[in-house]
Formats: sequence, structure tokens, C-alpha cells
Amino acid sequence: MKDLEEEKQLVERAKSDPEAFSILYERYYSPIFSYILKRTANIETAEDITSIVFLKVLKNIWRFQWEGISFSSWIYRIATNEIANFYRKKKKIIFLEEIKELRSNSDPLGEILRAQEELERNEEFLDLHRKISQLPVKYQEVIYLRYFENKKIKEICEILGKREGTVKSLLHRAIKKLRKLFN
Amino acid sequence: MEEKIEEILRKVKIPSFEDSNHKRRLKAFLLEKYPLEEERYKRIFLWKRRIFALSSLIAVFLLSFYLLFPQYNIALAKRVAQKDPEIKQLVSQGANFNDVRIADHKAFLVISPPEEIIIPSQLPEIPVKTEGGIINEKKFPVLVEIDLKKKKVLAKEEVFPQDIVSQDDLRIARKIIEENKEIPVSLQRGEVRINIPASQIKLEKKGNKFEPVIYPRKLEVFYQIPPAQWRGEIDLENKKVVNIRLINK
Repeated sequence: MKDLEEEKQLVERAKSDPEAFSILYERYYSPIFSYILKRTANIETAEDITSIVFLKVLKNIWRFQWEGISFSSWIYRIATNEIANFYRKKKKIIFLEEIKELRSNSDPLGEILRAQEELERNEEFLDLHRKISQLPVKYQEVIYLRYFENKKIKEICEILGKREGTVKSLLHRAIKKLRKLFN
Repeated sequence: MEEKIEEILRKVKIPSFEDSNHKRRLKAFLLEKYPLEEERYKRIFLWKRRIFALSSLIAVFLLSFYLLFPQYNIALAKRVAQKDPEIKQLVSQGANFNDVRIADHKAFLVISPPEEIIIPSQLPEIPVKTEGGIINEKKFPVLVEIDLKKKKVLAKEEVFPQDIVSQDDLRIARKIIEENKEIPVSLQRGEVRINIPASQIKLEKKGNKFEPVIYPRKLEVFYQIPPAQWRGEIDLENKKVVNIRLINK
């Protein structure tokens, strides 16, 4: 509760103080990048989507009101929407002009390639990822948020903007569908 | 089996990786953008506030123009009318402002007596209009024209039954009474009187003027077999007598 209050104040400060914004960035970069990486299983894509997510956070933080949704859920919602966009556009990223500029400065041949190779050694995860990827995006979202991000049902409701009953039913159906894929 | 799937999902080893280079570059990029975005937001916020203020102003203007202004004009018209001694006297004797219409800085009012207006069965006997002041003794409605700018009564004239109910309407009304099968014959044989319900006299725009009309188009009918009296309504639109009830045994 205290942490939530502290974060609330930090978010308010971040609307006028870049230092507070950078604290929020440091706090959320890793979980968001990790979430996107698990969803896409591609480091370069995860970096690109992460960049888009944080740019959107920066553009919209002034409009963010702590009403009915926490900052954490808000940022996860942006990430979830961007991932859904990525799948909707058949795995093409629609870059904002600013992000293009950021990307051109990256070093794809170095660190990223090495990391991608390392990622591909996680056979068990990649196999599971391939199976989950066969499910419709709405089922993928609940599975990743519940089992990989360890989000509570209430948090998933906030992130997806859905009711508790809907989320529970989506989870139930997602597991059922995944079981069929295992069979 | 479903529990097994959940167990697989919970136990799978999740790759962890972080490109510190990307994290650093993105942070620098965002912090560089921060002042611009803050500026952009402030600009949008300012515009939003301006738009909000402007829309509020427009809303207030429309509200006063369409809601408060007519109400103000109606109240003003009534006030000006009551400055006239004759109208003041009528109002003090129970006459009502039945309808008020505003057009071109003018107000038209119809003031009617508290009781129903009797249409004499022999129309030619209805008093003819005279020049000048109000001639009837609270029996007929009065139409008043007011100049709202100058705040004065421009004209006032008595409205006679034949101004409101035409000869044709009266003929139709009589025919409806005669042909109404639902009315007991005994009632038909009694005395029948047709009245204009005072409260139903409204104004209707005709050209540049407003004229008194009955709305809804219903007249009152009284059947009398002394000492009993029945009251009904002649619906001129649907051509029938409705709501007949005994009012005096």
C-alpha cells in the first residue's frame, strides 16, 4: 500500500520532473522488456516494441490519471496493445519516426545476435511459445500475464480492461485449447 | 490434464535477457524528448482549456438565448401588460395569461376570464366589437400586443367567440351532438349549451400576427334537464362527444 502511494507520487512528479520519469523508467524497463520478449521470442522485436511502449508512456504520462488503474497496469496495457498491434500487422512493426532514429543507432550484429542465439537455446520455452502462439491473441495475453508475469486476476482485469468473469473464462478456455495442442 | 498444463506453464524456465545498451540509449532518447513532450502537452492543455472556455461561453449564450431570454421576455411582457389599468383589473378579478408569444421584439398575450366562455346559441346576438377599451365585463378573452423595447402596450382587443370558433365549427359541433348515438335521447331533449373552455384559448401564428385559437380543438357541451346537468367535450378533430359526466344532480 505504501509502495503504491509512493509510486502515485512519483508518477505525479514525473509529469514535471524528468528525474522522476527516469526513476519510473528504471523501475519498469526490465519487466516490460522481459514481458515483450516472452511474448515475441525475438530480442530485436522486443527492443523495438519496448521503445514504442516507453515513447507512448512519455507522450501520455501527462494525461494519465490514477483512477481505476495503476501505473503498472497502465504501462502493461500499452505493452499488451503494442504486441497485439505487432501480431495484427503480421509481425511488422509500424515505427514512429522517432523510433526509427533510435533503431538506426543500434548494433544488431553484436550484442543482439549473441543474445538471440542464447535465447534460442531455451528449447523448452521456445517449444511452449510456439504452441501458445497458435492460440488467438486474447488467449495468449491471459496466459502470459497469469503464468509468466504472475499477475493477479484483478491486475489482468485492469491491464486488459475486462471483467473478472471474462478474464477467468478466457484463462479457462486458453488452458483447454493449449491442452489440445499438447495432445 | 489441465492442472498438468498449468504446472508446465508455471515451471518452464523463462529466458532472462537485458540489452543494457538499448536500455541506456532508450533512456537518453526519452530524456532528450522529455522537454519537447512537456511543451507539447502544455500547448495541448492550453488549447483544451481555451476550447473548453469557449464552448462554455457558447453554451451559456445558447442557454440564455433559447431558455432564459424567452422566459425573461415572457415575464417582461406580463409585467408590462399588468401596468395597464384595465388588464390589471382583469387579472385581479381572476383572469389568466393563457398564452404568451414573442416575435420581433413584440409580445402577444391572450388573457382569458376564469370561467368558460358561453357561445350564445344565436350568434348574431354576440356583441359587436367597439373601438377603444375593453367593453365586456370579464366575459371574453383579451388579446394584447406589447412592444418589448418600449415596454408599452401597443394594442388590446376583446376576442369574441366568433373569432375563436367559426360558424362552421359551431355547425359541426351541433351536428356531432345531434348525431351522437351514445347520448341518451332524454339528454338530447333537454337544453344544450356549447361553451369555449377558457383555459384552452391559445395563440397561433398567422402571417405577422398571432390569433387566438382553441387548442386542443375541443368545446364544452352542457346538457341540462333541470335540476340535473351533464358536462361533456366535443372533439372537433375526431367529431365526437366524449367524457360526458353528471356534474349537478
